[in-house]
Amino acid sequence: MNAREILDAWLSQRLEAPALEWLRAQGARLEGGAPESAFHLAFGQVPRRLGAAARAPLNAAHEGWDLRDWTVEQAARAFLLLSLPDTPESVRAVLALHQTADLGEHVALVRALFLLPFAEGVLHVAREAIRSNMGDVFRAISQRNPYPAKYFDDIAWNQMVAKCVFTDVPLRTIQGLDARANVALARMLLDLAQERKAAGRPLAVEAWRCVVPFLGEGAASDREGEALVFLADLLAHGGSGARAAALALQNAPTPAGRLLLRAAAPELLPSLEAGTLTWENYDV
Amino acid sequence: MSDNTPLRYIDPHIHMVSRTTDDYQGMREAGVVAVIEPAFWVGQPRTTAGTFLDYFSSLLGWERFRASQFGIRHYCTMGLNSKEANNEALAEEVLDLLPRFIGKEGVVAVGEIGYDEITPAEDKAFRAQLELAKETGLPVMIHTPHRDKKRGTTLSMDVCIEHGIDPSMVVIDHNNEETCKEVLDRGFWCAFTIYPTTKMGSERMVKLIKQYGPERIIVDSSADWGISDPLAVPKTAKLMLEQGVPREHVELACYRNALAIYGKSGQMNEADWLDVAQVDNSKVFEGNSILRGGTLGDPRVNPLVSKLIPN
Repeated sequence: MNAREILDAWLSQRLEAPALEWLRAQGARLEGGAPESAFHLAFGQVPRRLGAAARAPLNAAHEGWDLRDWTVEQAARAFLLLSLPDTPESVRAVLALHQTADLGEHVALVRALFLLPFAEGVLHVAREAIRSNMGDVFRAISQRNPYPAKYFDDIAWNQMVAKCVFTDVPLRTIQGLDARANVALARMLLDLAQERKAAGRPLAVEAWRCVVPFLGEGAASDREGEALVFLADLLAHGGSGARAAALALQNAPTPAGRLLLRAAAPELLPSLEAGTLTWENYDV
Repeated sequence: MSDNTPLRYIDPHIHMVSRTTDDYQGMREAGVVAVIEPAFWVGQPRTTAGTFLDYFSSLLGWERFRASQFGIRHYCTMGLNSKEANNEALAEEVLDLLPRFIGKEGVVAVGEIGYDEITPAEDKAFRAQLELAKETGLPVMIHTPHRDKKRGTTLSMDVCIEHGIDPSMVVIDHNNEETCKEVLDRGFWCAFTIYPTTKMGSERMVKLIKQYGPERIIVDSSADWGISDPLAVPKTAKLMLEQGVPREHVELACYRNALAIYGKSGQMNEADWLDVAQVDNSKVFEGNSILRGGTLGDPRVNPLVSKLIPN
């Protein structure tokens, strides 16, 4: 089954017959090359056509997709997007939708970007979502969305991760966090740690996950000492901060980092070695 | 329900794009749970359709989000205002944009439309938009003129009838003692804008509701970029209660009537603000996580709906 068929199957179990019939009719029109106005109208009308079912959680799973934040309405809107033919006209229609999208449309569009056959052609939508000050939109791109890891360059990726740290949006729910980590990001986050220290404000401890692996490399190589001071402080204060520091130091590329971990947090070593302490549960 | 329970209010006419976050906080504290922001002019005349496009989008996007930060549900109306309808070439382009917005979530009426100077160009745009309202089954919000108000009000109603629009689907706004009897007698909804010194004061509003009763009466602030009061609805309600207007009447004029008429759009339901948790599960998830981060320090803001990104 392709993505459109998968969504159709889920929606057929969650929508009342008239709503499903309406949605499928709209999808068929779009597949047949309906004018752009038909797409805008159908996309905008999804909440009112779906009724109460629209806002319910989707509660569906598929390999490679993390749909935990999705609602039925967003799945229905993704279905409409996937009904657009893979043509330059469809790219233009999606960019036009982005220009006038209301908040709900905007979130649905951003969540569904990764499913589109012309995903790369609508990079602009994803890049703008990183710049958005609307939390819903920023989270839609940064959280549980495979699009950034696949299509962002390092500038966009690093801005996204740094903005998560800035705004207390979790990092663990960013897809591809470790795979896309890079030395420039590590340097940015280390600078941020120093700025926060100067301001007397804490830094989200997850940030160290993206810093420690690069402490022996490039722009971060001569700053290991700086980083270890922060990490030693976290370890000394115990709790979730210490567990996060230990998880980060587990991947330390140099002897000094590994030594700090063994010396300052011996009690955490067994759970680290057993793999029972993870970035998923360090703060529980 | 005890009579001491604080009333909830809807301000069904307010231009929040021109207001500050202090206003939002004050409104929430005063009991305003929902607002309707009519598309209107923005002071500076617009010269291109693109600025209308971005303005309409901001009513559905950024402003809706901003209101949500303060626990206030934000709805809007879409339309070309009468003043700018006089730029005829531009008006044509803007009228062509409206179908792209009119069907979106939370659009509760076509408005605010009607007359300003009562010119042929205004008449043309007004009639075109009445047809749009008829096609989409949406209520209509009518702005009545400052100058030549009585004639403009009567004419607005005549034209609605001529286009076959049911008076029960139309709110006539900015009424005063001189216009309200005809509006009510003809079956239209009759809204009053409480403006310091110009349109209508709270004291006069109390007298009007005592005289005419609460049926189809709506109180709003029309607060914008000029001297105006975003707390006009709760303040007027308080004065009504102090001066012996029955609580049920106050609730009709300052909450229920607006919900009744604009709810006919199918886009505005009491459940939208009575049970935020059911509105959008992802919002609660996000709110909780902000709460955990603890960076949003303002206790006046409902933590469950706060997702402001501090830069």
